[in-house]
Amino acid sequence: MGGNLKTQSHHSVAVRLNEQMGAKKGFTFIQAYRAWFPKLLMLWILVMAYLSLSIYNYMDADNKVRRVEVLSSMCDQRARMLQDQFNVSVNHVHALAILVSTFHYLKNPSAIDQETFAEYTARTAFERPLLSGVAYAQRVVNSERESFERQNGWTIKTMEREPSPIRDEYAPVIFSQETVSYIESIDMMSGEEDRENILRARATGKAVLTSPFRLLGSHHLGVVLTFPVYKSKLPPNPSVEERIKAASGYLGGAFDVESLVENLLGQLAGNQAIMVYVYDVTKSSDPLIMYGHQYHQDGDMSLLHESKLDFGDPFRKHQMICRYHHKAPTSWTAINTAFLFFVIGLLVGYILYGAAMHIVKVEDDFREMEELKVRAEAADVAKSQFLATVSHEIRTPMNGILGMLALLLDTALSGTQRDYAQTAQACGKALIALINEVLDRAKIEAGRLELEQVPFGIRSILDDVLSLFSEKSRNMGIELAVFVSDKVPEIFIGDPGRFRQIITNLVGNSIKFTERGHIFVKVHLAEPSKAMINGKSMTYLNGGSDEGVKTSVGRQFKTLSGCEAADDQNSWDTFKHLIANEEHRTDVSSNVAANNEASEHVTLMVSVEDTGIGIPLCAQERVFMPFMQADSSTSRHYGGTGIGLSISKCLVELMGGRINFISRPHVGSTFSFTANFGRCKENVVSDLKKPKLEDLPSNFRGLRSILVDGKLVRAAVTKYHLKRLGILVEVVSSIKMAVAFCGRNGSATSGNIVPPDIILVEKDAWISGEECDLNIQQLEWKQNGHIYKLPKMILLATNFGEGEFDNAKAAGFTDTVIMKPLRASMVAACLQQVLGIGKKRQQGKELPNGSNFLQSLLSGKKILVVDDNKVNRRVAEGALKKFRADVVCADSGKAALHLLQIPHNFDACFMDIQMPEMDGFEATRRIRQMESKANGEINGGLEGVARKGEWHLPVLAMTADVIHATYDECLKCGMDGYVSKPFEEENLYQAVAKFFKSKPES
Amino acid sequence: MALPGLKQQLQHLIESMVNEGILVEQQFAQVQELKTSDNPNFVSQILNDFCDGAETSITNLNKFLCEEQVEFDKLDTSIHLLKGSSSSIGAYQMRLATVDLVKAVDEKDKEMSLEALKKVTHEYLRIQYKLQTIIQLENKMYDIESKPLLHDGNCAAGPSYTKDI
Repeated sequence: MGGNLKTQSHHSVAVRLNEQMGAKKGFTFIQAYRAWFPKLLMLWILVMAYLSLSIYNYMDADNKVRRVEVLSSMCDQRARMLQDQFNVSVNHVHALAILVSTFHYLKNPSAIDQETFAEYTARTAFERPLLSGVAYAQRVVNSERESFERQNGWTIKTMEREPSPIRDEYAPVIFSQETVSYIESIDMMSGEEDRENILRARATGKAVLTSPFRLLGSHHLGVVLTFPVYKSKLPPNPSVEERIKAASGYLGGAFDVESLVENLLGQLAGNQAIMVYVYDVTKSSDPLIMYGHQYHQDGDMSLLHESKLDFGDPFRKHQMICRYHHKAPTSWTAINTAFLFFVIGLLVGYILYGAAMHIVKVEDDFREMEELKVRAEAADVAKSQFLATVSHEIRTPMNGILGMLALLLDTALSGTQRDYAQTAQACGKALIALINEVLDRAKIEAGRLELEQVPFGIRSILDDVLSLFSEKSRNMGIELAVFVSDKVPEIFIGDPGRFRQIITNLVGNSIKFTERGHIFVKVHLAEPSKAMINGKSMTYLNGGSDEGVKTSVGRQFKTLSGCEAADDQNSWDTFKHLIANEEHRTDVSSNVAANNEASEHVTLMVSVEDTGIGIPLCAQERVFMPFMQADSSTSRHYGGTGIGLSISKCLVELMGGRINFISRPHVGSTFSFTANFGRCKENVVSDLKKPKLEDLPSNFRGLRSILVDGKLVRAAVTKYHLKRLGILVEVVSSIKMAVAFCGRNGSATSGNIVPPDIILVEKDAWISGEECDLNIQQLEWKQNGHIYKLPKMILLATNFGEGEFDNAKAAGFTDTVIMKPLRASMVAACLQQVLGIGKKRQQGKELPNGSNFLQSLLSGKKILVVDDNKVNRRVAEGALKKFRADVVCADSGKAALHLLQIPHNFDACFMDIQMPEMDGFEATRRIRQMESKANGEINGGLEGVARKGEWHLPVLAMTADVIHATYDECLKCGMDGYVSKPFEEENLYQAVAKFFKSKPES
Repeated sequence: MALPGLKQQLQHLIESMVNEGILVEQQFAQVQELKTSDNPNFVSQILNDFCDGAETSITNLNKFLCEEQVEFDKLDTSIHLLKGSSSSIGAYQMRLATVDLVKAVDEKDKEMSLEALKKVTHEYLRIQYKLQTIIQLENKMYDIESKPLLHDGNCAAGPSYTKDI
């Protein structure tokens, strides 16, 4: 079963966990796409990079266009200038050619000789800045060579300065500018370039250029310009042959292109910025450089501009190529702009990413925390369940141990062995009690404890608790008293066991920590605050006059015992208002009472006041924590585990109430709690049950008594108990007054008024030394010859010192002494003894205390004993009969079922568990089935005839086997408890007391 | 014999049984305490019941155990009866023997069961003889006590005559 429970609980925990997880299924958008974030970030960065690159490109493209424009304009400008200059030079050469033609050939004799030519050319050199020098070469055919050589006095030489070999034609230089005088007499036709040039020039009649080559003098790159000079005027459209024929010489000039361009560029702005190359591109496949450093390849190779150059020679093509000297300067604006854009984009992206990641992280953490929380809670529940289970599991073997010890005690043991075994058994029982407490707490924490809902009477329960502690309190000399307000209903619905547990706990605690004074349990209805306020305000009004009384006997307080209490609630000042209120209410306002009756619930206010050592202030907040005591020394001094209060707290909370306390160190503590109970609806039933419920003899009704007690609270308590017995009580504060009271009654208008039947005297009222008065009074009565019997004198005492008892007897309390704490039933028993009334059967046999109690419990009860074993059945029957129960036997489960057909009039059933055919468990189950069926019918309104509100027969298991048949197993099939076989009185008492005390109807 | 003599004899017998270890004093005393004025024959009745039950049980057990195929489940009722009744009256040795029998039957060991049953039978015979003596003594006491009551019209029997045992 334990295992079963465990798995179940685990399951429930798991389910709860799942539920919690399920609740969080509402993922946020962010959560759902969390895996995409890094990718999204990368994408974002790429997009940003791309965008910034575009921005850069856009801005840079602008620059480039401008740059290209600048370059082209610069290049074109240079090309044009070069071309212009060149053309100017060519034109001059042309003019020179015409000059030569005119003055050398058309004039005869020639007007020009070398000197003239040199002079003229030198003086007109400024017109030809591009030409390093000009020279005129005459056309000499081979046939004319000799004459020519003779005429000039030199031979025609080749370029290599050797006499020219014989050819068809020669073009020796006859005139030359001084700058190029070294070429005089050299045959221009001997050079390949020049020859070609000459031929082309005379064929076209225009200026022609050679391809670039290194000039003889300067070794600069240069070209040679050749211009034909014709002898005669040419026809308007001369043919090539005509031209060749007419050609008489050639004017040539060397262009030093390099220095020419250098000069030209030097004149222009922006010279440094660009590089200029001039190429001869006649043969496009093999451009020949005319200017520029062929191997100087640095500079911006990416950007160049070509400009066409027309030097007037249609055969040759030239072009100028410009490029920037330096690479395009990086555009910082563009870079900065793009970079800033990128950075901003990056930052924005990162911020978004960071935010998203943060959200994810926070959510993750949150979820983790949630999970941890759930787990922690689960662990807490599991802890409690574990505790519950373990406690349960411990209980089983403990029961085994106890059972075995019991068996061991039944064997033949020596005295010592028996002593050891008994000690072990006592310890085991203590341990079981502790485990049960722990189990209780664990069960409460695990939420497994459920309160019963059965009708019960609170007064009998309180009496019962009192009886538990009476021995102890008497020994310690502590006043122990219970007071239940009249307004508290006789019975109501709740869990009597748990209520008793709380009270027992609180009172037990109080007893533990109290050495003198009193412990006072007071129960009243938790009022709507109005009445209390009324009471209080009146208290304050009356307060002034009360002070004096209080101080008269040192520090005497108006509490139960006269000791100071932590909470003034129970002192007479407030107490009397409570009582007064009640009386007032019952007298006058039946309306209010009716209202009260109408409400579904009763809220009780219970307080337990003691005059013990109190709780140290520092420990007060820990009081309700389990296993906490004021300090560690407490457990050494007073024992206990400190779990009781925490259990009480849990129980009170389960009952829908609250527990709290007021405590003053060295003064005392008052624990008070409220609890809700259901009101018992069937008023009629409760009325019928009333006498039975309290189980108090009713034959004292109408008796009159005088209570002599100086302490008002105590008097109220005594009065409460007497009232329960139906005795009318008159309270007086001293014996003198009692005497006066009796006297008045006795002497005045005799006959009508009867002297009291009983006089109850508190011990301390008697001790104040007035016993003689009483005796006198008694004598007086005797002398007066009253027809009525004398009132019985009863002394109420908490404890007696040596010899005091004899004193009391001597003083006239011959009748009896009632030892406190008072309980209605006990008072009744004493009165029975004293008054000699209501004695049903006076048995000489003295039973021990427990037996007496058992007898009172079981007497007249109809009990069914079910056992298949004849011997056992007889024993059980005998044992129950001994306590005057009305016993019926059944020898099988079936027979029992037959007897228990509803309606029956059994009060309880003792059921053997191990029986053939139908075992005790099965039989109980069937009984419960029948009962629930019957209850259903009653509730269905078929039949109003019900002996009680509900059919529920207490079924107690009988088993010899404490090991197997654990309590829980019995409970599971609907049993209410178990007794071990063979019957032990103690055991029987425990089992039976639970029902016949707490269940008023049985 | 006079009543005091019978009482003394009974007491001696019980004492010797307790000393022999075949009877647990406390439990038997409890049984004796259950004898009241309403039910003066209680002790002899219960002892007779015990003997009857035990004999029936032992016979049954013998029958079941001697079968070829022992149906051990059938034994439970009789054993339980033996165990319960012997513990109720405090027949200690017999109870111990029964416990052995329970063990043997639980293990479904026929040999051991027969052995244990033999022991139970032995213990039963041992106690039965003495119980019969007790029954006789009780009956005698009852006869003596009931006689004067017949003469005496007052029905209120002395309430304390069980107390001295």
